[in-house]
Amino acid sequence: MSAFLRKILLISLVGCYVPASQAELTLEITKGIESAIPIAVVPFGWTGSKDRAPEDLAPIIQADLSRSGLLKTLPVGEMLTMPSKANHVRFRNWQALGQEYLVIGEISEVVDKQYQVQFQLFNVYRGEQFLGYRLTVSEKELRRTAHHISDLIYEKLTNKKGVFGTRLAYITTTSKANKKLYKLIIADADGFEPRVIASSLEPIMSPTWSPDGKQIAYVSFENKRSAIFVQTLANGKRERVASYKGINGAPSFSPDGTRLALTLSKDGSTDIYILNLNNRSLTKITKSYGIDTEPSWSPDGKTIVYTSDRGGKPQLYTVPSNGGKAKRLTFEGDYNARGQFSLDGKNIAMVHANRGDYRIAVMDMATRTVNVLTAGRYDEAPSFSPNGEMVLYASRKGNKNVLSAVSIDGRMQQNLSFDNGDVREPAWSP
Amino acid sequence: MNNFKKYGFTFTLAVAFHLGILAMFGISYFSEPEIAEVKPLPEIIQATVLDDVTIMEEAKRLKDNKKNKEIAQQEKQKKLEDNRKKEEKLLNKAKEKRIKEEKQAEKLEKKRQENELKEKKLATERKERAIKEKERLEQIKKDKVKAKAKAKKQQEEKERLDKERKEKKQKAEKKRKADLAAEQKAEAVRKEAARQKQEADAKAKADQDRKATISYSDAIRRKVINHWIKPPLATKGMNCLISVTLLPSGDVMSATVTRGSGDSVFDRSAENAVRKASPLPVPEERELFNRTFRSFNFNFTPE
Repeated sequence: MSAFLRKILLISLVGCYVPASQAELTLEITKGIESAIPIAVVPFGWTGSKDRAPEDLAPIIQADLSRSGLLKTLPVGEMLTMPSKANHVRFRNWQALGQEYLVIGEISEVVDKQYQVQFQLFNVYRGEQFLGYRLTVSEKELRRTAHHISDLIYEKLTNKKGVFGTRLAYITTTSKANKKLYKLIIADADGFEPRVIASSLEPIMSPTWSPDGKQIAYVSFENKRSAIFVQTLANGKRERVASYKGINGAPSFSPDGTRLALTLSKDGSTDIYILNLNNRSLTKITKSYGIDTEPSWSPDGKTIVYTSDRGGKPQLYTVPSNGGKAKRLTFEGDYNARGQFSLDGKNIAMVHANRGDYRIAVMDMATRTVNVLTAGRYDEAPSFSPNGEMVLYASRKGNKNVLSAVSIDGRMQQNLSFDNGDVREPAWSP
Repeated sequence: MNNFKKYGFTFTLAVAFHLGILAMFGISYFSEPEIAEVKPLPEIIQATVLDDVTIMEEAKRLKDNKKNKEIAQQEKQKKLEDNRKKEEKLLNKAKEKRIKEEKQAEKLEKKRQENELKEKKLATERKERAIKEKERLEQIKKDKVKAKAKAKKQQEEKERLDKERKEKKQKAEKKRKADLAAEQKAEAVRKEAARQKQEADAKAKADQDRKATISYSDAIRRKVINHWIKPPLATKGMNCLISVTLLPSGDVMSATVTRGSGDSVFDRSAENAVRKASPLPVPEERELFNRTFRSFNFNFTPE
């Protein structure tokens, strides 16, 4: 064997030896930090006839994303640069600020009151675009466009449906000259753009959304006695669907939107009825000497969950939506009421009271375990967000009622501030 | 014996000479004239019955016989006379011959004496020569013995030398072998010592590397943990393997999800954590860095 070959052999042996000598290192990471994901939303650029854009979308998006609790936005004051075009982005700047994601955008005036909005989402550490859209909108759609962008970003980053483009219905009470004014208001999910759709000096209660989000049913005492109205949002038309003797309360749309479950006491006892909205036929599905109220449909439409005090204290029961035997659902605590199915049917949100504190709880339908989510004293009227992630509810803050939202695992809680008085009975749109 | 051998020849010659003389006398004795006594043979008559013819023949034969007897007598007389004369003649002749022979003997004796003298001289010479020869032979013999002894001695010397040489050679060989063995042993000991040292060094290095690896791994892990925003819905059992390549500065050159959890949000959070933690704390020692930290894996798996 020649020296050359020997050398080659030696080299190849050495070459084999080195990688075989050690298995590759693998480090286990089992812990992380509890934190929202840092994201910078740079104020959008503007090109148009006026000095400024009619609406700055960045703050709307920042507020949306921050409110989710999963993302945390960088204050504009801390930004080193404010690029609005991709080729001006220096990822190192954003890495230096610890930002994982970056949103830049531009609004340009196409014609009067018509704008083109474009935005891009970047993964800062990978240094690449993650999402990009261009939309043409009217001036009054700009705000909704911002929520839409928030939804797109949120969905991309969390794999969960965004709810920033949804709306809330709620009741406010304002006092003026010893008189109370009740208003049914619909607002964007961020509380902006409130719109009064009904007002009365008599109480308005229990607003609820139709499954298509186009109608709202509610109870109004405007004629000094309770009646149930269904109001179409697009044109403000409303229809009185129940005005029986005694109580007319707690309407709830069936998942297909054709029926309304409600509480009536027309026959003496307070029971759950199903009202067919097409032919107005009425079916009584509970029969007890106690009070049965606050019905809510399961997503498949087959079951109604409701509150009954037939056992002495209010507890949740279920009954088939076409009538049948009622089954008690809750056994923990001395008060469980206002049950509501999540859209996937896996959870039921409720007001759960124990020793005088009323809190929001969620029951896992698979295990029947009840998880108390809030720590208030007078928390009420839980309503699931359309993505099932959050529960919106009313709570007392000082001597005012405010709206709050909590994630269904209880880890995230946020207050939605409305400066227009007492806010109660929120209902999250589909 | 030696004497006989030496004078044998002379002695024999002398004996032969005397015997020759004696023989000559003997012959003379026997040649004396014989006095023969001739005695008439008795007549033997045989009485036989004869026939007429036979008688006649017989009568005739008898008659002849008588005559023949007279003739024979005469002849015999004559013959005797002849013989006597012959004898006399012979006697004379013998007498002459004897005188001649006596003279001859005298001469011979003289010659013999001379010869004897000569012989003696010769014998002496011979004897001397023999002695000399003997001495020479003895000398030769001696020399031979001497030579033999010398040769033997030489042979012995040679053998001794050979033996010595051989022994010396063997000894040298033995020594060489012993030296070689000793050297080999020493070499083996040296090698073993070197090997042990190398092993000890390698072990110490490996130990040091292991400790460094653990310490840097901990530091890296801490840094990544501090940068990993664990998604709220990350649950136990989720698993995301990320393979990273670093620069010697610790800067993350690449981070790739090599086995995802099935949840893109989870995987991305892990990948971003690694990138955010860049630069990672890595050993300055290039060899350890190359071997262990240039490329390795993270396994993100929530507790």
